Amino acid sequence: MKTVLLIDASGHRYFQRRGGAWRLVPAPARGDRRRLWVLINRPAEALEAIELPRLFGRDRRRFVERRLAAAFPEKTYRAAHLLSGGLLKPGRVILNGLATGQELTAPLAATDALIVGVWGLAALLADMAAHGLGPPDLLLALPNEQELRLLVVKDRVPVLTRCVQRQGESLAAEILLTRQYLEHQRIFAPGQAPPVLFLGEADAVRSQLAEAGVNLVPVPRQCLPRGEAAWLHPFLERIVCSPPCQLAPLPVRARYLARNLRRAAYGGAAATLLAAALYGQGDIRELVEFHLREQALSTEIESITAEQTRLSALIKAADVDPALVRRATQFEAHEISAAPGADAFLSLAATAIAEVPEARVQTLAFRLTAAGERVCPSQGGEPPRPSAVETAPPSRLAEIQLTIALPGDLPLQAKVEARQRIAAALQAVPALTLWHDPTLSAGAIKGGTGSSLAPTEDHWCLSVPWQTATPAVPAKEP
Amino acid sequence: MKPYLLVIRPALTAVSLLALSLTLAIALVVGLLHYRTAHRDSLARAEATLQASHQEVNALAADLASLETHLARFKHLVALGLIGDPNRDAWVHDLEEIYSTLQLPPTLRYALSAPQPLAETAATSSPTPTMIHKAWRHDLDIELSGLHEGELLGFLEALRAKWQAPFRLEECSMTRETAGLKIKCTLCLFSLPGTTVATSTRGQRR
Repeated sequence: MKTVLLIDASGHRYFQRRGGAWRLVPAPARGDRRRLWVLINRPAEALEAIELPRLFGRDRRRFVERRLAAAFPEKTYRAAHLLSGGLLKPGRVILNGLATGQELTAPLAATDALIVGVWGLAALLADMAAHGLGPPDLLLALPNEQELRLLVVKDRVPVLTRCVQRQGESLAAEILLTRQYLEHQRIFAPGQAPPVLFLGEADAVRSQLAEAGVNLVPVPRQCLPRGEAAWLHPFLERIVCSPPCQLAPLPVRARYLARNLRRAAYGGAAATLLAAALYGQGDIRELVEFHLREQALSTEIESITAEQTRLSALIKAADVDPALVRRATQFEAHEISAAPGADAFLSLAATAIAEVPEARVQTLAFRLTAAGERVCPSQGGEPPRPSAVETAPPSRLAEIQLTIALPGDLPLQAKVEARQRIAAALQAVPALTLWHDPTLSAGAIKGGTGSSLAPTEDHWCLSVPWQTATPAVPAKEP
Repeated sequence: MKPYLLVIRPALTAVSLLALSLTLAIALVVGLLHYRTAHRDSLARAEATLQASHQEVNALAADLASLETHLARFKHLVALGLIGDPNRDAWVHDLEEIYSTLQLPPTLRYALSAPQPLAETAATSSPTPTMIHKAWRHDLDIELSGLHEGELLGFLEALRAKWQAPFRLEECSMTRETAGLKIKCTLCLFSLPGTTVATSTRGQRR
């Protein structure tokens, strides 16, 4: 519950807001630490608006402090409030303060409530006028049983405030007197004095003011009296919003500010921890996953290490380097076992003349060719073509050169047929390439008649690949 | 007393708690970040170790399978003298002995060349070039005359069966003469460096 302490000529009263209206309540008991807003309406309050020169920052602050100190030598309750302008823009400042704070000392010392701040009624009136209450030029009058608070604003800037004692039916007279003062001081031109907003029962003054030619402004709806606070209701509503121009020094408000600081610190601590927990939530989850994954990895590594040890022991038991075994067996398979033997070449020679009984093999030469070496070079042989598959090694060839002799007295046609049978027999051998075929070449022709003719010798050149079977040896070479 | 102390002193516990919370929060965030980075690195290392171990085990399994498959053949090659320092004197001694055992005409002439590294392009195109540059070849030129084809085949078969030497027939020429065949052949013998006893295993090297 929001509570306001009102200090005026009647003494001090406490108001509490219940159901949208302000009601009078007893003073808070000792030890009651509710928040308390203090509103003072005494003649000690003064108000002054000054123009700010082109000063900024510290210079402006010092200028305002000097003017404030000059206006209110009693430095306990005073404040300055920027009415218009900004940090970099000159404007107007309202200097507000109490000539003496004695009237506040006793009631504030008598309560344990947390003092939110102290506001003067004149400053509240000026604040409301600056925020659009009535026309720009206005004389505000707020009476109570003992006093009459007057505030004059010109262009919504306060120019005069008074708090006068009520003596009989002098309300209208005080207003007229103030009006006369404004004209004498040339604050307003004669006949241009502002209208009056009377925040009280206006019937008592209406006729007198009308006779003097003073207009009464209709009371705005938000300023109509309500509840036990009556005409003070809008001011109590305003003060609990903690408007500018708070007058109380820091020591008076220390407990309230400390409570706020404490709450903010606790809230900040909780928010910080919560934010850290939320921020770290993902990290913590990831760490848990890391931990579980590490455990699984550790188990897996142990298992695989055991397997590694077992395999190493088995290999060690063989007492031989596996790489050497692999290299040696692979080498033997590719370089020794795959090479064709003499029996293969002799068998090939026998195959060539198998269908020609009169033919004899005169010479037989064979060799394993080097990679890329031409086969049967004198017969125009070409190097073996690389395999279609790039990764496969080129086929390795063996070159065979044959000299086959036919009897010299064999008729020419028989010789031709014999050569053709030999060529056919050779071409029937799978994978054999016949590089030099005497049946196709146009060489010298030798012959004659009689029985003493020398045998006819034909030169044949051919190639066969090595064994193509690949031994079952791992291709890896560490 | 400074005015602001009037406000701070009653709220000192809360302010201290806030400072502590801020410190804790910063420590938590920084610590978690650091801890997570460290764990991530550790995990990456463990995974790399595991992967390396898997590869090692696969290699060991392949080695073992290779051993089981080829050990008998390897022992035969060791017996042939393919591995290690070649015993060239024994080769020619055994050659002579085999030839004389067959009671062939005493026309054998031979010449064993000095060992030469087997170049990749020297004799053949090998599918395993990494093996070639580690191998040595020893060319043995032999000359024979007065033999028949059957005797030559018998001699070569005897070499293949009894001669303790890893060889292949590199080239050969045979010419028929009145007294039989005149034969010139080159046998290529091989040797591979290495020791037949394992000096280390993968498990020990690691």
